[in-house]
Amino acid sequence: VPLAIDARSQAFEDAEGEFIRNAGCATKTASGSVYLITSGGKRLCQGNLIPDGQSFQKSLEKALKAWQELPAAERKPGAASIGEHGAADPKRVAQTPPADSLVLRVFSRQFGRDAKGELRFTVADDYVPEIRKHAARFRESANDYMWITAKEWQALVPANPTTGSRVPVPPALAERLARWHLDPATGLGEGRNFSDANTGIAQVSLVVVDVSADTIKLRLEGTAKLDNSRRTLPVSFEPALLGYLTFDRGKKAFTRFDVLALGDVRGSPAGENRMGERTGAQPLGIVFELAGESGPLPAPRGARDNAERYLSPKLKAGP
Amino acid sequence: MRIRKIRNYFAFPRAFSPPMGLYPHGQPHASFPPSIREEENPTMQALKTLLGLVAIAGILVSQGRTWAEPKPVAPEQFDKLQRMIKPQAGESLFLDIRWLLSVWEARQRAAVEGKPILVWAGAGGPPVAVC
Repeated sequence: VPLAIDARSQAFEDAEGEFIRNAGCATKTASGSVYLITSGGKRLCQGNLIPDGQSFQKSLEKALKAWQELPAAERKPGAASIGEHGAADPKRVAQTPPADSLVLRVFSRQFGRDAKGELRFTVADDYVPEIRKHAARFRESANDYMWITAKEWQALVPANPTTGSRVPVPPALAERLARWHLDPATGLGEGRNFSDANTGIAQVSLVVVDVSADTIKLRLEGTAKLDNSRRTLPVSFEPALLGYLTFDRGKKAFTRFDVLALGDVRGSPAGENRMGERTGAQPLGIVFELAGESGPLPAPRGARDNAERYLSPKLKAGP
Repeated sequence: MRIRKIRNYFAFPRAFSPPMGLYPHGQPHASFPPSIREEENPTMQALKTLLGLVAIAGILVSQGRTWAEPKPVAPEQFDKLQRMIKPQAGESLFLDIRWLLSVWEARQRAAVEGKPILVWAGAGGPPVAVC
């Protein structure tokens, strides 16, 4: 039974937090830790996360052997009794999106440029020497989630739409997008580059491009100028944004919410840990799309420690 | 003492003094020949102005205030870029697994089905969410 949890949850004061603490199976690092445990919380074996294509497989085989060696009475279906769920810690509750929120899935990927200036996937030599051994990880896309509250996505739907009319984007939504979801540190560490940035770092506009009895289609355009020069190893990111949204008037829901951000990163996205660092101006692409999945999804990266701050970013003027 | 003398020479408010990093050797006096320390030299006046402008530009650049507009995303490239950014076939295979996110739900299912739990716990909840 595969279970993925944020190691922060071991600090929650509820039955789930207590279970994780007692099992001792959570590590608050990027890779985290993998264990095979019983439903009662007995730790059987640790998975080996060395990315060599063999170690993880072998460790899982060893873990399954440990499971098989348990007495049959412990392993048979229905052998263990799991109590009631109990009240959840409010901090855990805050990890779920507000009612009727729109949840987007977010993927980001670093790119290089070929001799013609076209985007290409990164290779080890693209990175500063200290981190080249991790290049395979940086080459992959990183995934995150974004919450858009009901009030915000409803504000994106004009009451009397006409082609060419502009739709104001709620400031909190634009700020959340820029501060939390255009951060090149995503997937590279726990650091946040722009969470306390000044208001107006992203200029996002929405235009009605087509209206029919069934749908309203909108185009999103924008730019962001993100800069964290206060750190010893600064970083900046200057993406342009383009997106296509379709609102189904019958379903009263967005059926398309595809947004793309593409621009150049300069500096060290993850600061002193150097992860993902390259020299010069290097491209980063980010896509947003409807999560379109039933069931619970992980909280956005920006909401894990303070969902209120994520949902209602403090709007402050620049210098 | 010599550093202070050179700073006075530039006659900038302290806030606009060139950061030490702008000097080639971290020692401002080392990069200037003795002749340019003559305060009434007209050539020196011009040099002062030039160096001052360079210093201010350097500070502004270092603070990220000189921005060019990002190149717009070409609409005809949208679909291709979207495909390139998202996970490729065979990449991020752990995302294909239907991971449970609730400890209680996982325990219930494991107990009912007579199976162990494979728990992956890290910053953010890898592999379904990144740090």
